[in-house]
Amino acid sequence: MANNKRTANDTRCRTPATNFVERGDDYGLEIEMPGVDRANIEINVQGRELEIVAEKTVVPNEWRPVARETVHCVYRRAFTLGDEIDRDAIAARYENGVLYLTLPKSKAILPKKIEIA
Amino acid sequence: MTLITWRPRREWDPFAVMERLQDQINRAFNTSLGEWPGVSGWGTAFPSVDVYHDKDNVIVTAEVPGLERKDVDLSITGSTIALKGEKKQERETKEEDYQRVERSYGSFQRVIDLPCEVDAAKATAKLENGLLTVTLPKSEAHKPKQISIDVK
Repeated sequence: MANNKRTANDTRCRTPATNFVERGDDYGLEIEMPGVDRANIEINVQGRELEIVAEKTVVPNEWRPVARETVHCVYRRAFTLGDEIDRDAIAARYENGVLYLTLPKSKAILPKKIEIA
Repeated sequence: MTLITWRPRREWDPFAVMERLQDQINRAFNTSLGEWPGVSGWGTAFPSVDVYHDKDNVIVTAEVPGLERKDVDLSITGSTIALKGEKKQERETKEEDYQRVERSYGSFQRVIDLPCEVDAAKATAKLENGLLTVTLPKSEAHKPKQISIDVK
């Protein structure tokens, strides 16, 4: 599922922890990306690949590190989309450092009821 | 018939072997860390914390994705700060709908040593985009002072 190809030259890539949910008529992804500005989140769909790239906001220059447990990083994760997903209807929301993606199932695979005329 | 390039037989060099091994170990540490889902760096405790300081303040940042203001408790005593709280699963998602879970949940408590005494009463905190930033003014005794000497 994950594809760990690096994008930025100097910055490390971090694979964000992700939960995957399947509901009745859609799939959901919860991707943990704390410390990112909404404007710096890129969500690309190309063919069957869904790629998410986001850079963590840099701390001000005057802040001198005393102890650090995190690295400045770019969050990156890619997923392969199945045919059952309606690619044009993918929606995203960023809240409290978590990116929520909703991937609706395409109408063609949803169960249908046929009425007798 | 196959033709194989002739190579003189090399002497076994223990140093070369060791160098190769060291190289492999270095590579293992440099590349794999952070590529594991959810691993932020060397810290294994939740939340991952960075401590900075500038002229007047000590700044502590903690990564708390998915947490809201009411989920985190802060207490400052002299030169330590304690973070306490609980990270809960999304309320609107049913347990059986999860196909894969990489995010971790549970209660947490961390006590962080600060590089100097701070004025707890003047501390401010904000929670934005899953990042908690606490600004703690250094207590007067620890601020850099400029002493001017009159040259006569």
